[in-house]
Amino acid sequence: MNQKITLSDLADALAVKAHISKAGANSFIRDIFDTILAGLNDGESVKVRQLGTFKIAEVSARKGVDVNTGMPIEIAGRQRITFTPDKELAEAVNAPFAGFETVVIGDEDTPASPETAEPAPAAEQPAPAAEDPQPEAALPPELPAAPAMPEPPAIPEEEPSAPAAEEKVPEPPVVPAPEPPATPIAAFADMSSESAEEPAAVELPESDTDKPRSNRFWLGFIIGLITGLAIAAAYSLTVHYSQSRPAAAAQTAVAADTVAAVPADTTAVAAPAPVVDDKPLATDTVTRTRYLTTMARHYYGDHNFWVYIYEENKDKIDNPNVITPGTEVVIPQPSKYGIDASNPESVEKAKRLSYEIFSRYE
Amino acid sequence: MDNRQFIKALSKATGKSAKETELLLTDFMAVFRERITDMDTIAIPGFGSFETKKRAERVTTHPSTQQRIIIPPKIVMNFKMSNVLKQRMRDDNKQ
Repeated sequence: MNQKITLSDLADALAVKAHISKAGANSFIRDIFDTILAGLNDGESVKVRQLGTFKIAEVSARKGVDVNTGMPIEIAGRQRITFTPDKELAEAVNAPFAGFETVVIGDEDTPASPETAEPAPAAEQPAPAAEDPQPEAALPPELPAAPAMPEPPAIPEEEPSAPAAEEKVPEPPVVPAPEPPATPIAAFADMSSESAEEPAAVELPESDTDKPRSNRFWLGFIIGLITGLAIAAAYSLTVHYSQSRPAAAAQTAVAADTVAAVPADTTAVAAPAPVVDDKPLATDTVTRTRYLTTMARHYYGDHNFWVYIYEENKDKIDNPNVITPGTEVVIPQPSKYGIDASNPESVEKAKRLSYEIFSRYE
Repeated sequence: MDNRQFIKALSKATGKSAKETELLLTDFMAVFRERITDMDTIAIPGFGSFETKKRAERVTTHPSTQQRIIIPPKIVMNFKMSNVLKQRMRDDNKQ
């Protein structure tokens, strides 16, 4: 896997397979490619069975710019050898992915009737987990919902989760197979799959079983595919949403019902919203090219606000002009210090504070 | 040059019979395929290297029907000329 095979490696393997000497195998392989080159030199394309076709293609001269002087120069045309693999060989190379086919993303309508709308909110909690099974697999059932909904769950939030639930359907057959820790999700998947049948799951499970060797590779890839599907579907459905507002309204009504029925979940969903304020905005690392001022401009829109990052991290930083690269700093919420780049008064206040801080170190 | 001509030229170069050459070539191709399907890079000095690359899946839109389509990922095989060969062809062209 991902090794570099040299000619002598090939010759060794060929010598064993064809029962000839290593030197003989080596020279035979050289002869193969020399013959190909000789054929190409005669101006022909060379077709080798089971390998492919080699051709010579002209690369025409083009204009370029001298990187040192900036003067325009002409890059001379040249010839290059193109290689088209034999169909059989190309298929053999692609064998791990052979089970995939192009999929048309259906722009089917949002569930409009009440009984089809109902499963959507119910499946809402498992949906975010399906996006990212690895890290959240170990968490208790209530938790997966929390990180997915940092903002207060408004109506548009409901919409994308509905397609996510649909897209999630291919997941159940895949997740249980590779690793046992994924079982919480599997349980979830069962919950949701009673409402949503599995229409699209046909090709995934079979390819999974006959390639156990590359399971991991597959799993990662399938997660990627599903995430892509979910995003695409979410996009197409948000477009739909603007047209099908009444349907969405009906859906939120149902959502409200389920919310009443399962109070534990609602707290999980609603809780993050008020918490956001005193949580730091982010953490960042000071480097040789990233200073507090850089971060202030990045997060607050004005470099003068670096003083507040400094204030927040006083325990780690002494002199603001002497910070060891690699120091990790916490970026506070702008509201904590009344940071507002569009307000000149706020900027002025930050400047005054900076004078004060500097005066401490003079 | 098709496969038959190629084997003829190759047997001339190796001094073996065409039949023998073909058998050896088949063996070689089996070895080659085994290595390349393992996603290894095969480098032939003075010629070039064969390597495989994974192409990620992507979403495209059908130009006329506006349907959105997921193109699945794929492993493709690439050939890259060796620098020695490039230089030699450049020199050949100059003359």
